[in-house]
Amino acid sequence: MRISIRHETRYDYAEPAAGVVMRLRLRPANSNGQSIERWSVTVNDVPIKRWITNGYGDAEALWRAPGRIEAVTIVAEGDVSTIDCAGVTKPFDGEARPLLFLRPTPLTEVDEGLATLGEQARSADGPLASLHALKDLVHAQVAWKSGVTTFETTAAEALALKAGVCQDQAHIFIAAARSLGIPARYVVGYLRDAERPDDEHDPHAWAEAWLDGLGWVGFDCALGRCPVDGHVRISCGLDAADAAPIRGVMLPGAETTLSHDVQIASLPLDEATQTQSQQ
Amino acid sequence: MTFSEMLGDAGEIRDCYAVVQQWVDETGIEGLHRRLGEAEAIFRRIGITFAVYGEGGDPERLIPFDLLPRIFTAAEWARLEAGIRQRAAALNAFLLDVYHRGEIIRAGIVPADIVYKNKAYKPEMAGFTPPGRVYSHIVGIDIVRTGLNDFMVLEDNCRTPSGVSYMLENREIMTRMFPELFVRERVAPVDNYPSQLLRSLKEVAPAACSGEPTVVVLTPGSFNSAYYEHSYLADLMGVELVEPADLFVDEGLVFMKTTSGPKRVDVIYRRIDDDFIDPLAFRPDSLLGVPGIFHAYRAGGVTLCSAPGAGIADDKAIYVYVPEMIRFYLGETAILQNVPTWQCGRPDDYAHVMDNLADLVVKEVHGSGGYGMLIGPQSTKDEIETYAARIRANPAEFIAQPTLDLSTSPTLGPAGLVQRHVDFRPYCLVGKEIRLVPGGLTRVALAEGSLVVNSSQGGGVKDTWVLR
Repeated sequence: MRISIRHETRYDYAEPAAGVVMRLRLRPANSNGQSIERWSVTVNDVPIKRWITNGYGDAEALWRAPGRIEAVTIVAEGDVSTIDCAGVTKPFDGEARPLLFLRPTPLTEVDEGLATLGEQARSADGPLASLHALKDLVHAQVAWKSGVTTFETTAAEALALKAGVCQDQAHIFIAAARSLGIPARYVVGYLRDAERPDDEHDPHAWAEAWLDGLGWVGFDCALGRCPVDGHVRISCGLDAADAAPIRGVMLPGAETTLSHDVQIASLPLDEATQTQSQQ
Repeated sequence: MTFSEMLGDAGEIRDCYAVVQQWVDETGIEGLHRRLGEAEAIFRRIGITFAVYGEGGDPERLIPFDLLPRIFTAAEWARLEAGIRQRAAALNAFLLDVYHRGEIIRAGIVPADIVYKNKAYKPEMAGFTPPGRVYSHIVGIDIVRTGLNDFMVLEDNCRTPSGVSYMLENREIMTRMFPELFVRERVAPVDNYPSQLLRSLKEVAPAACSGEPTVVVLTPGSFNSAYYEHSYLADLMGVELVEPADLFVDEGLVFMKTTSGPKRVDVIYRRIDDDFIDPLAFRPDSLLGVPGIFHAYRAGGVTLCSAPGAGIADDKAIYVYVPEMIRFYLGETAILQNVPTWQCGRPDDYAHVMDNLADLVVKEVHGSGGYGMLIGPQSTKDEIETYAARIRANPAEFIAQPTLDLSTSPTLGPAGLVQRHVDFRPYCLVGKEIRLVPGGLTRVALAEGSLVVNSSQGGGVKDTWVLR
């Protein structure tokens, strides 16, 4: 699939803000499942050119406001071609070891409910079967509902509410997978959802779990299936806070208003991509 | 029997302490007290103080100084030096490994959990190789002695070990006040430590640095208990002492604000903990840090000394594996032994510890500075019971060691010389090569019979002589 993405994030400050510095993880990396045809990130119309690879293998850049500033507009846009890898992302040598992703975080602390959920999913057919069962359980038990949770809601709280957004569903999956001794991580990206109009998308999130011999396998509990070729990965981490695509600081002061606009559309397949997808 | 640094088996004065004995005899106890008063007046004048946490009273009080030096023979030092260098090399090799492929974990030598689940392990460092492959540039190794030939490592300090200013000041005072002692005895100098430190720091300049590297010392500020040391070392190295607000990151490089405009900084000897160094990489609520400095580090624009995440190597849960690290990375046998250690997280060890609390020293795995520890033989039944409850609640958070009979060194008491327990912290420098100044900081537990030498717990300091 060829996917066109435009993701705009805007910060408006009530009064001009001082000392604004932002860390950006807004550039997809080439991997076995996705290749970048064209990509650019601009902040207030200035292109970001210097990117490094962080400890999770994701691209990372830094932007510093030239002085006091009233608003920051970050635009990430480009075209990505994807192929269906049955949700498997191959790791590369420089990234954090899979066992790191057993580490608990405040958002993914395991309580009794999460441990029970993990046990319900445990399958005699091995970890892959357990993970599929877990994904189905989360999809069935935790309804997608916006407005009931916030970015600070923990996996345990969301499970008790039996509702939340993709962040909560991913957190629940991650915490329960870790309770089964399976490394799991949080992934931020975009989803081309054919059932939605092009301009009604949000940044998406799902989970990946590590299976020896296979690699990182994606599980999208919001959809109740593994990512195929509609998902584009941009960053990952131990939880949503750790994987945040944008993190910023400023000197104490003005109130900030945050707004998003995400547009995702399918592009016609060109000849080269068609050849690739037929291989 | 307690080993006395000064006395041989038959109670005779060891050769290396003959000069000290002669000096004490000549000067007399009253004379020594008078000179001690003069020394304290100098310390106060130059302003060397050490804030003591949690003890109340004057936070800027003087750390007690003892006039009588602690002495190592050339042969003793040769062995210590080899052991210290070996350990510094192995600890850095371990850090390089755990932030890359983790071979020591794959080999089943160190358990994955105590590394990857450890807060001191920073995933942000994964896959990054710091300049010179060095993570811990100043390794402070706490060593105790229990016999003529028995030296043991109590703990490693791979982050930003403090106290080296006392090593330098103590020697400075001694040579200034008692020059005749240094004529009688050939004592190896330590005053080149600052130049060796600067050299080691310059050797790890980042890829982006083309000319002569600019080094700075980064301090959290004057409220920090070791601020004196930060400013002292910057001064001796002839480099700027900066606070976080003096630095900023631009285009992947770090600059300091100066009266003549921004100036590039290449190497930062930072005395701020990992969590507080960069709110964009670590604790977001840190008001202390420099936003983006970690990004600049990973981008090769600046070198942070020590590397964030270096603390995983000195964690008490990792400590027990250091002798195996030495074998694994260097193919050598550890020259300096570890203190036998029980990990309360292991069922067998736990049972042993709980049965023998009255004889053991128990420490928190993540604690430091002598706080929150139990010294069994010096605790009441109630204290032991209270502590036991804490262990029961969270066994994996505790380790236990036998109560070591630390060696004693002659110390000036009110009415004459007394024997007081001591330990020793050398400061090993790691740049392109490993460097060790012959000496270190001897800490002395000033209360009779006390085994706690931490300056935060009422310990004092001594000059340390390595004879040539």
